[in-house]
Amino acid sequence: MLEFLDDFYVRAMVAGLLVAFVAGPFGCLLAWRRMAFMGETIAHSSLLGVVLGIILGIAPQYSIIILALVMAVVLFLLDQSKGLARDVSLNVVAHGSLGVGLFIVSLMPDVNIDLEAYLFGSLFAIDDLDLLIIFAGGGGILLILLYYWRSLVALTISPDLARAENLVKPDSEFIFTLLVAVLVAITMKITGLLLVSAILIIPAAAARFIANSPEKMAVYASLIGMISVALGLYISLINDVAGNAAIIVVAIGLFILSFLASKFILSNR
Amino acid sequence: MSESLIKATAADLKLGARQVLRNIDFDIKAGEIAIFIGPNGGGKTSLIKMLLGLFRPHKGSVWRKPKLKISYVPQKFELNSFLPLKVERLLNFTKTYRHAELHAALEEVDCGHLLTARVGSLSGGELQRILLARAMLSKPDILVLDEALQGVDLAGEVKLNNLISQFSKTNNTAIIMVSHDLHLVMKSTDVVYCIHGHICCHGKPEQIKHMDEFKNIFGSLADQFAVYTHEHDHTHTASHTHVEHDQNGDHTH
Repeated sequence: MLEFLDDFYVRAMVAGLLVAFVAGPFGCLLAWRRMAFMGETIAHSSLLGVVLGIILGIAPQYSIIILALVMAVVLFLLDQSKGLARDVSLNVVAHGSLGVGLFIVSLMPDVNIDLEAYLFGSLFAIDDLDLLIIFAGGGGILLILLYYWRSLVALTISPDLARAENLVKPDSEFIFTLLVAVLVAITMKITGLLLVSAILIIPAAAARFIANSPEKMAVYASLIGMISVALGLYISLINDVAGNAAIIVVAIGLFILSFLASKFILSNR
Repeated sequence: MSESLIKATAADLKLGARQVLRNIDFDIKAGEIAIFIGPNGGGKTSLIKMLLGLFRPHKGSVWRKPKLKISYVPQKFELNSFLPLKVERLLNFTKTYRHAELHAALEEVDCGHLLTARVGSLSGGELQRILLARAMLSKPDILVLDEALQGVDLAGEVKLNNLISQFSKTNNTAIIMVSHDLHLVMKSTDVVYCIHGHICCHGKPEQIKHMDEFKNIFGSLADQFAVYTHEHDHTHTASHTHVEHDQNGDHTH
């Protein structure tokens, strides 16, 4: 029944569309909450995640998620302690985890780590476990996000007001951080470290120009992401160019279109 | 006497290493209007945040009535421009109201025409008016206004202060208000709290202006305030010359 999934190209398309769909509202919230660099920070830790998987003998898909969750908790605690500015703590965590990851890799000369997959993803090598995790994980985090949506939008509008008026579900921010970690871990497969932020933030940024409410912006971001994946993969098929790069190029094209539309066609956004 | 809504008992507040408030005893009951006055950095906003539960006292306690319905207009409201938001959605963000209710609420603050405006495009005064309208929409038990009328023009300020005290009477809503402007708020106030690291003094408006603590902190401002009540008495009290002598007992003839 699922034979069509045998083709690596179809797998890439399905996985890409799903991730872009889920990433839409997450990207918006990350941008609204001034956390646009958080995705990339957590992505840096996935090399250490792969290493951890080798040491523990578990599939890298799982160990990357586990380590991303750990890093999310670290980031959250650093944020709470208010000792460091957020951009500083993001930097420390990103490069700290990358450094430790590289260090351990260099201690294991007989282990072959695919650094290219780490940097650029492996969009055309998506196996059954990847698909399963993208389906279950992506669907799961999207549902949990919907449950916390109003809370998180209220916190974006005004944290003090939202808390004083009791509009915030307990631990909304902590749970959001964990959800972002899972999203980044599953997105890494498609984009790699270098482009993970691109698929999270560019569609949201493009959606901002044409949306006039938070919810519309989230939906538009999903749609823009999905169009980017579909068109990008199509371009990569007919021209034999890197799939993830083509996706981002289309996304940037849509960003420019959306910007021009807001300048010359739409108003009151 | 009606029941307490928020109560602080011997509460101390530290922010970082800095002791911001000490030994705060505070109690507000349904329908009461309390005004916080005091110099910059005196802790008015911190006290409000402590009463609201945004800051936790490190000593003593703050109690809020269970299920207390609070509306709050914070001193600072900076919308991230990356969030697309219309006035309508801002008003609806606690719960969804009917269009007519939203319109009526905006009309009260003279902003009926702004229902579909972008929040990012509002002037400072318009934003404050809309935040006030939003706060009153939910018919709260207590309305907490931290310099809610900053940026509002003078005529508007008089009008909105009347609106607030009227709202308090109609709905038996308690009000806590931070204000610099003694002139405008005293009329309908039940208690004035003078805050400078602690509650220096409190009492009814006509009592507090005679208190030494109040005069020490406010100096010339206290005089201004006294002058104002004179004028006020002048228009409303037959025996105003007599009142004047009482209030300025140190004047000799």
